[in-house]
Amino acid sequence: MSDVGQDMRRSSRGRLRWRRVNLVVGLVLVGVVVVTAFVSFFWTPFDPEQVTVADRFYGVGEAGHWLGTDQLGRDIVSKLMVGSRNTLFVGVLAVGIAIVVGIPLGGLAATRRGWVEELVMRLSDLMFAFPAVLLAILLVGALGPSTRSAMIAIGFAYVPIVARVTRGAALPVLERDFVLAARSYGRGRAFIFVRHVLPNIASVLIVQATVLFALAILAEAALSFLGIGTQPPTPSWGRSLNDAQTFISVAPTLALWPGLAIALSVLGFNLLGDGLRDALDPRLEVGRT
Amino acid sequence: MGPVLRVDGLTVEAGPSTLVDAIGFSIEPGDRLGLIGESGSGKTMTALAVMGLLPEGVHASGQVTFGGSDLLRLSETELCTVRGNGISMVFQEPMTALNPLMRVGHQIAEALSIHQGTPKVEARRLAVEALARVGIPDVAAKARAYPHELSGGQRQRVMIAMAIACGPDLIIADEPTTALDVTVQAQVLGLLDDLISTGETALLLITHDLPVVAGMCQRVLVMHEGVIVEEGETADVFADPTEAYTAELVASVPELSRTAAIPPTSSVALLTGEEALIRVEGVTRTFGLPRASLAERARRLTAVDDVGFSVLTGETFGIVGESGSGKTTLARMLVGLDHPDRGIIEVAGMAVAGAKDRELGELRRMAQMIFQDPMGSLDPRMKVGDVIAEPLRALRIDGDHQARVADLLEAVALPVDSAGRYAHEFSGGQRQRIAIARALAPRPRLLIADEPVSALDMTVQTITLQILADLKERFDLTMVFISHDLSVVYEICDRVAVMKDGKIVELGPATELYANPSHPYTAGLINAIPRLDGTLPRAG
Amino acid sequence: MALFTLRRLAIFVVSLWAASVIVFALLSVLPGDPAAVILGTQATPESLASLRSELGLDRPVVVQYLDWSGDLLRGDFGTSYINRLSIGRQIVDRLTVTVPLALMGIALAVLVAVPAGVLAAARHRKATDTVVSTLSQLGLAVPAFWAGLVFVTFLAVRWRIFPAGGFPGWSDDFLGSLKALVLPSVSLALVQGAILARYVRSAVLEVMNEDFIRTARAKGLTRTGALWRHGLRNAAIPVVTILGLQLAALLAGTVVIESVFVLPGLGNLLLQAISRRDLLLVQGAAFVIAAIILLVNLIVDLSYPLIDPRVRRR
Repeated sequence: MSDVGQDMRRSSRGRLRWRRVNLVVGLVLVGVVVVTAFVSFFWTPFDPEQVTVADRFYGVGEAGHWLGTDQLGRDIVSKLMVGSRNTLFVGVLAVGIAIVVGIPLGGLAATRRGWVEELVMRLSDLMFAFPAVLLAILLVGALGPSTRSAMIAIGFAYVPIVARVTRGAALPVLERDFVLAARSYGRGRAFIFVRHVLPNIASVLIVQATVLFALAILAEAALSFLGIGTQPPTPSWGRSLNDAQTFISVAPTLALWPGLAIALSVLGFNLLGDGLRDALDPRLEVGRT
Repeated sequence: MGPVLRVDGLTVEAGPSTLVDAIGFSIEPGDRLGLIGESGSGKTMTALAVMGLLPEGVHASGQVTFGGSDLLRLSETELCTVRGNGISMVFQEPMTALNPLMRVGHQIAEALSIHQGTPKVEARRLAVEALARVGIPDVAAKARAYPHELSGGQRQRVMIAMAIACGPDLIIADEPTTALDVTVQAQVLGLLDDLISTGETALLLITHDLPVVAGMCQRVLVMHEGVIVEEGETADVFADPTEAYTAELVASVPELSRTAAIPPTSSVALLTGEEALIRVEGVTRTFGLPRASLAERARRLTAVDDVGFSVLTGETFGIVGESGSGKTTLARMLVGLDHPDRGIIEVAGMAVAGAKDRELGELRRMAQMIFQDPMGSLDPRMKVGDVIAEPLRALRIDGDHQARVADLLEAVALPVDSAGRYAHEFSGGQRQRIAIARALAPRPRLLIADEPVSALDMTVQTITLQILADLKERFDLTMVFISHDLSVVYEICDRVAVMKDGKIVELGPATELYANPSHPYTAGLINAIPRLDGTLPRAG
Repeated sequence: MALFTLRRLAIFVVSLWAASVIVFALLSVLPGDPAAVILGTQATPESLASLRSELGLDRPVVVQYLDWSGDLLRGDFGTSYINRLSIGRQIVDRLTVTVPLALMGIALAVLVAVPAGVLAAARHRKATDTVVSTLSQLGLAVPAFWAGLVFVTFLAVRWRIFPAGGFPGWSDDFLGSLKALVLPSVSLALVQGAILARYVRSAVLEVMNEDFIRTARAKGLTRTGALWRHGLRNAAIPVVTILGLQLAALLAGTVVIESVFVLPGLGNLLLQAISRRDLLLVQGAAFVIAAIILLVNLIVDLSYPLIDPRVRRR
């Protein structure tokens, strides 16, 4: 069928331009979050923890506060800037756990088959019955509220997702003859998985990681909003929304800024994931029949 | 009455590249035209352009006249009245071309209700009749079956029933039998032949397989890189090609497909007195099958059933069989990639059956394997040089790897700078040669080749077989050659074993076995091979 | 088919048991002493010990688990340490809010997202597709609870179209109760709908590339005809899987949304129990949520053979 295959590849070139928009916008948004977090270590317009009750509820642009102040007179821009650190920390921790545990598990299921695979898959089915937020609530209930325990819970909740994606992507690769060839010259399962399978499924995993990063940001925001995630005084966008809810009739815009910050970072990671998928799409590569 | 289909200056373009370049031909009513070409020749695109089914981003220009109108200028709705009604199409893949969630009877009935407004009940009755016409047994039950419950051959019959349902003026069949076993191919070709010879229906048969066209079509077009390079009466073109490309194609047809008569004397001196390199005794391998219902007992599929044979040092031993015959399972067991439930497999005196992976080190150096799919057998993320050197590293063979890679590339007639490139930069035939180089890297004594040329174009097959034969001499190899294609096995093997349902039904020297098959299954297989002289096989 | 059903049922039962172990283990093995929580600052070693033995906390963990799970089997969730109320009763009460909320959320999401996704796929790379894709990308990025906050700000606080929160109770004020669930379910549906629309779109696009769609068109069906008669049912298979996962996510989402709209649902109960360290209640509520999700997965699994004849053989 190589006729159709080749032509489809050629015709997808037009799509590439549209796809690049995703990638560029995603990179820019994620870049802004990263740079902001970095800059916040050296400079913020105001001290984000500086409480001046007299200055509370300033509107946009008042008294040099670009986005105003909150109920304790803290500068919103400064809080948002410092909050971005928390957002990134959360994503890195949760996604890191999910990947470090999930990829080997998925690889184990894919390469061993039989009862090992059955066990891993059934366990991951079971874990789906504990959505990330629920698991986090339980863990926090037992250990007490903290960003770290919340994110460990979120990370473990994402383990079955990563394991499933890894297995799903690895199985067709393992079916291919180059794996059989590697076995025929004596390579073991672990070597084959690391050297032959992982490089071939890396794009799928990178995309999955960015999507989970976005989900982790949302989960942290939700937990902090419930008051069981990030604890004061560490600035967190979700935490700010919790405060904002209390004062929603007095200062409705307070709820706007952290929400926008969350939405834009999530959008950034999602777009980055989409853009990467398109850029790394194996279907666009030559080399498939 | 004019031609049923006239194609003038048809050009198919995808972006900047031209896939079909201003071709023209016509088909008279009841005529059968063969369109021959290798992969990438543009033959499928021509068919899809006529049907108005080109993939997104691919555009056709020129003129395609059918029933007094230019199909390229019709709207989608107007085209729909032509498709399946005036012109219908049979596709290559019977596995994927039918809707898996719809009963096959309903899929046929749909064609009738679309074009003739036949009421549902009536259409379904006619569908059952159509299934009977294409030779499906137990039609009432099969009409209610889902595609996955039918065999590949039956599915292709369903496709044909669908194509003839509305009595079209033209059927376009794109590689209709390429995915089928040779005996099933013979049956399906026979069916197409019968159905068409009774009416005014014309046939455009698209295939890479010259003997198939020889048996089916009076006229033939030869397509190469988007252009029709030669056309004429099939017999004339194949007997006396005027173009060099056609001559090359004709030359690539295996000997067995050329004539029905096989020379009775053996052309190869058989080895005698050599010791056996492989000894297989009473080998059986079964796989568990999922149970269909509670009432059923757990079933096991016997893939290889009490098989025994020896391969002599220095010979080329062929194993031939249709899909599901167990030949690939057997091949994998020979190199310890799979293990039999019982039986003995010895290679150079080493017990292979049941051996642990770490006990197989010596075997891994000595026996190497080549696979069917040249796309799938090379890791796309590795450079060719690393691919070839991998077995050396895995088996801890010391020495100058780079030099050895260069030697091997030279041996398979690839430029030395190939080492720095990736597999996808090579053509299918070149990739298969890279796979051969990798297999030869640890200097094996034994090469197991599992369908090594099946995925390749005819002309490339010929070259690859030649290279394999040369390398066998040069490196002093013993070779086990596995294939579904009897003609290819005949070309290269000294002795041949014929497998059916996990058993070896016949084993003997190639020339003897082909000239004088003693088992009816072997005889049936050989008779099913389409011949270049135009004798259409009839499966009994 | 019977075998398939039995196998899934067996997996369901085993999963339920495993879920009960996880819930119990998570809250028992980790630090925290309910007796100390109940007695608070007035605790003396003696009163602690007597309360512990009254609650059965001095027994080995395994015995405690067997006791708890044995009661569960009889439908008895036990009595709260804190308010001495039947836990089963409280959970059932809360479910009458949470279940309708989740169902309304998923129904809204399906009603909007499925047509939108199919339409986008049918008009692939046309304006409709771009609009649907962009909207779903935006919807995906918005935290549901923030959407809820924004709705409250405008539709409740400013324009007073909907209540800002609270729940009158089904028997007291049916319409009022329904109205109270509108904004929360819309907030939930927004995100899940965005996810669903993306999946529907890509499932339909993928199916439309299949060989059998080409066969259907070669038969004389238009692209749209082939989509309706052959594409949708095939695209439904991956979409049903996603729907199952979404219901789970939605259920988790209700925890947060109930907090925004001050609804007396199961999530709300769970949060209260956590803050009061009412461990037995936490265990019960968490187990019920997990059990509902497992039940949804069971239903999804059992629906496959109805859609896909190939699964019936497994």
